[in-house]
Amino acid sequence: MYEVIRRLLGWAIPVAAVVVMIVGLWPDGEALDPADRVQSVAAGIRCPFCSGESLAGSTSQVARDLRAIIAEQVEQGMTNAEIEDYFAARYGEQILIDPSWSGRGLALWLAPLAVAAAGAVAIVGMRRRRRET
Amino acid sequence: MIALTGYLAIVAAVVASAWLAVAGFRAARSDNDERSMRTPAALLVGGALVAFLALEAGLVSHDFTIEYVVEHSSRSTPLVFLLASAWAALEGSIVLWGLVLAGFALAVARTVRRGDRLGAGALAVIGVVALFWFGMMATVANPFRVCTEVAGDVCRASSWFPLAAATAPLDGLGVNPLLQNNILMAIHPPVLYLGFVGFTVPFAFAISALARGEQGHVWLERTHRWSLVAWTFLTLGILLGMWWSYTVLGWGGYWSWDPVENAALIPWLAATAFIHSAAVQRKRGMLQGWNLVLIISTFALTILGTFLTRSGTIVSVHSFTQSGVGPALLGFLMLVLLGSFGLLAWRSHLVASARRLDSLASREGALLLNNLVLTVFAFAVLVGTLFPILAEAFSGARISVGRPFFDRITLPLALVLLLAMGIGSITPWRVARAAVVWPRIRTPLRTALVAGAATVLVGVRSIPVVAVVVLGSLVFGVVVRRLWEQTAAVRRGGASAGAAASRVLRGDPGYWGGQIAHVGVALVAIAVAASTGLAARHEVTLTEGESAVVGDYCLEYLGATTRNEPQRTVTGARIRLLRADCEREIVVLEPTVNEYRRPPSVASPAVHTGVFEDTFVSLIGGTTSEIVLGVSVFPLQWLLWAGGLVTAAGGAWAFLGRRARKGLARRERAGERIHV
Repeated sequence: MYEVIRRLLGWAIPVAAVVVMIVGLWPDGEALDPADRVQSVAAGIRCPFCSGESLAGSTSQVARDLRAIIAEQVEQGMTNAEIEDYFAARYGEQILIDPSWSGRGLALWLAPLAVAAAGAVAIVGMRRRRRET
Repeated sequence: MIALTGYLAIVAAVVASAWLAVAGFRAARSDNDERSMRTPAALLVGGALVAFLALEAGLVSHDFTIEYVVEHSSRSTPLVFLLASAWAALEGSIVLWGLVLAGFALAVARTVRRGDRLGAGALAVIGVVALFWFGMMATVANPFRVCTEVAGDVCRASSWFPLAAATAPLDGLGVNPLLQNNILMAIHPPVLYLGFVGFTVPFAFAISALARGEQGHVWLERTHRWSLVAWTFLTLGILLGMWWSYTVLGWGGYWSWDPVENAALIPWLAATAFIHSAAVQRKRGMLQGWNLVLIISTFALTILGTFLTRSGTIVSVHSFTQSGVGPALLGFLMLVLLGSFGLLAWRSHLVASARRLDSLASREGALLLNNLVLTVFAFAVLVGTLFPILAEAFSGARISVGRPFFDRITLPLALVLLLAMGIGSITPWRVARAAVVWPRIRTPLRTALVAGAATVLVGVRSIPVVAVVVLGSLVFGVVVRRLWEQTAAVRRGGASAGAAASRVLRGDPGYWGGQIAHVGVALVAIAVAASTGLAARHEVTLTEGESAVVGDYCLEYLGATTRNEPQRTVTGARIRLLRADCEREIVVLEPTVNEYRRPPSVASPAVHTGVFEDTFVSLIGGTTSEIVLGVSVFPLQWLLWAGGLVTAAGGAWAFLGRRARKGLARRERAGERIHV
């Protein structure tokens, strides 16, 4: 009897834990709060006259003004990419903290992926050759 | 006089380096007496030490005929920062680097006996590396340039020739405020350099083995402890740097993916991969070529890191040629890369690994996964760091790569690493069967899932944070269970719990050192996830006597303070931190702004560390009537420092334990009776 309960608990507890995590972390379907969206866009744009800070992190007046512009654009229903393009056109591409996914920026994202793929192939290859011999 | 002594010492060290290289090279071919190498090694240490002490003497005695002293200290600088100024700027840091390298050279020379051709060859390589550093000190990075023309508090012109007609300004410019605001800045560079320079030793042995065409893993065995020592110091150095940026920089972060930080992280990742793949070669004879690639890369990356941080290239490619140091370092880096990889290609027929992988589901398989992830991680950070520099150099475009990129690549890689750490260390070598692995992982897995659920139940709704908690707990649980199991086996022999655990830990210090480091890394991962994913930042403006509720706290502005110290003026605000009800006091904090003789002024945040979170208060701005405070809350911040220390302790355990065991074996051989 004791053993049965013990085994049951052994399965029930982890299953319950997984259920709690799934329920708790399930996206609740609500669109992102406009304030959160402003913050997330601002985190990707450099504060033009501060050193090494994003619009989200800076406490300067410039950053405050630019955050207000982003808030307006979010309200108008512009997408994140559109807002970033607006700033890139105005201040040059270096205002974006990360290069965009197109053109030169693509190489930045693809290079690590290529190394990962090559490494994975090499590791699998180490095993296969053994089988052939 | 000081400049002359220092410069002559550097010249002596240059001669000693060349002598060591030649003596090592000859002994590697003809079994020369080991004394032929100890003399130049001792001379090298002597020269480096005198040069370093001369620089310190110049700083402490305010010898403003030396340009370095004028530019990096002043009469009002406190003694401890005067001493630390010796490595606060470019030329001085190269002197410290040289001193550490000389120390390592002598330590290696002491292990080389007659007929040890591998060791002699390694000393020759170290001699060549030392020749480069001391050569740079004697030419483009001369710390003993004398001031020949004065304008106010600066040297308008200076000369490399130590006997040139010198003149001195009345006072120096003082230390960079960022560097003299906290004692950590005095400790962080030497510790980091011990790590950086330490990798010269395994690199030198690897090159020596390659050049001599030695197969096998003798070079790995001989440098195992050196690698661990270097890794431990590098870990500690990075940790101290994070701590410094948290307590000094005032923006409330410890890591900003700054190129200077990346320059230390990339070699750390490569070195970590090397330590793991070296274990595969020692146990299974695999990965001979890959280990050579990794140690050469690690060494090259330490040079690249120095180049990036010290040549000014980061600010802009165009500042690169302002000093001769940048081109010199870049040239040396090219020489190291072409020479080492050329040698590797030439000897490639000797290093092909004979053994193959039996199964991906094995310890080797997990370690290969670890190597893949660490390599991709190092490569991605390297690309992200170099991308803006290369883009500017080749197309003139100013592009930046920042936090979003690095954060995004780090998360998935960190999760895979944690998983490999959790499963790998309890997976048997060669082939792992589920029947062996499952019982070892069952309980830790359950515990990890419960920990994840508990995190959700206390209100955390961030998927990355919960994922890191689950996998981090798995790593932790696996190690604890393994220790528990082995301790229980020893206890059946009648030992007490403490004695049994200590016997297990000492029985295999390499393995258990690694496990301790794993626990540390898991703690760091959880702390990073919590302090990144759950941090809250607020800004509040207060007039004197006013209080405001910010998040779960209440802040009351008690009044302004001003303090005049010889080297700075400290302006602060006394803030009473209370619970949200504004009644129960926690502590009185005093964030300050420090103004030095030279800009910029530096903010010192005040931090209250609690069990669950840090409350970080910094003075952002204000007038006489009101102040602006930045108030940030960082959950589990202390866990980051604790985890980092545990990680370094794991490295230390691995090499200290190994030495204790070696000593034991030596005494056993000597016929001593040993009571265990």
